[in-house]
Amino acid sequence: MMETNKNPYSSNSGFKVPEDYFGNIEDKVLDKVAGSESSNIPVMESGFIVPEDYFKGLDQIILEKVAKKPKVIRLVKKEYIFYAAAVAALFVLMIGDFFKTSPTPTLGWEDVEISAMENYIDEGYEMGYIKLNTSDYSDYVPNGENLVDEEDFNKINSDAALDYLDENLEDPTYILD
Amino acid sequence: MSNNSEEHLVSRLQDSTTSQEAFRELISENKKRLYWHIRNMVKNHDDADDILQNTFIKVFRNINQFKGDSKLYSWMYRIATNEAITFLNKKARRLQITSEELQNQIIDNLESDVYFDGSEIKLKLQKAIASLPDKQQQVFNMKYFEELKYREMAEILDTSEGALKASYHIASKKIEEFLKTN
Repeated sequence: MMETNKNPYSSNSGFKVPEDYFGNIEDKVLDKVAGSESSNIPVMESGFIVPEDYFKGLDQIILEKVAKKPKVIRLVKKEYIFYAAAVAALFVLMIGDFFKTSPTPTLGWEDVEISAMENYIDEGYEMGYIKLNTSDYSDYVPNGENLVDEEDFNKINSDAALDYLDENLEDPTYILD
Repeated sequence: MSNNSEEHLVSRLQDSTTSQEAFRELISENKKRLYWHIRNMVKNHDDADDILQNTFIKVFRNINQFKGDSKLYSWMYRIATNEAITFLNKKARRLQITSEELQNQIIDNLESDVYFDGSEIKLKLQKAIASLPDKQQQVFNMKYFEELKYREMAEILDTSEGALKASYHIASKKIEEFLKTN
């Protein structure tokens, strides 16, 4: 192989580059690349349209919604956690039953597949055998003793849910009903 | 909005005696660009409307947690982006399909959507966008339709400008190819 310059960073050649030349060369190249490419796609709108006067009434709708106090609901009164807890209990009971012949495993919240519960509740809601208030659906999860506005059921407070299970597991028909 | 006027607006938003009026201004100034940002992600008007309202409600309820580490608009964009992504993920999970399958389903529905200008070329462009990975879709939408600056996009998406430029470049190439071959 032919020998290349021993030191590619040598400044002995006498050539100089403008100050900060190497500092922003990536940006310059990427600017040119990005700029040239966009011109090859015809300029057009997205095609999405909105209902007439949609934006006119929107401010008031949102202001009215924020004027309402955020809902904070006692955990024990909430349907969602009831169903979540019931489904969790069913999953735990089913797993427990399945392994009945082997030494009794210690089952806990971590044994319950959250996504399976979610799917069950989602499906139940859509099929009509679980009734939830749509305004609350998916928006509230347990936090301590209360349900608070939250977007992701995966952030459910497992201690609160397990406490609830402990309190209500005495009568299985209540859960299986 | 200049830094001073933004700081002033934020302090009014965080003061309970002035928050309502300041919030009205905030909605008025930002509703359209946030709406289009969300709409480009979820495609359907009703879904975009719901997510937009939830976004503003979250902004209002969490404004006291805004510490001014970023621009207010980029904070709101991040909330809107997260809301839209969460919505799409939940929808895919509920339908038990992948996000790619969901994208295809959404695009199929566009053809009969009364709030979509059904020209063939625009539909083809939406199909091309839907064929991109999520991140590239987002970058392309923000640059091409929303005309955001790379600097603004970098702040919203917490990514370097260089990475965004590269992403847009790749996305554009793919879309161009899709439009040529389909």
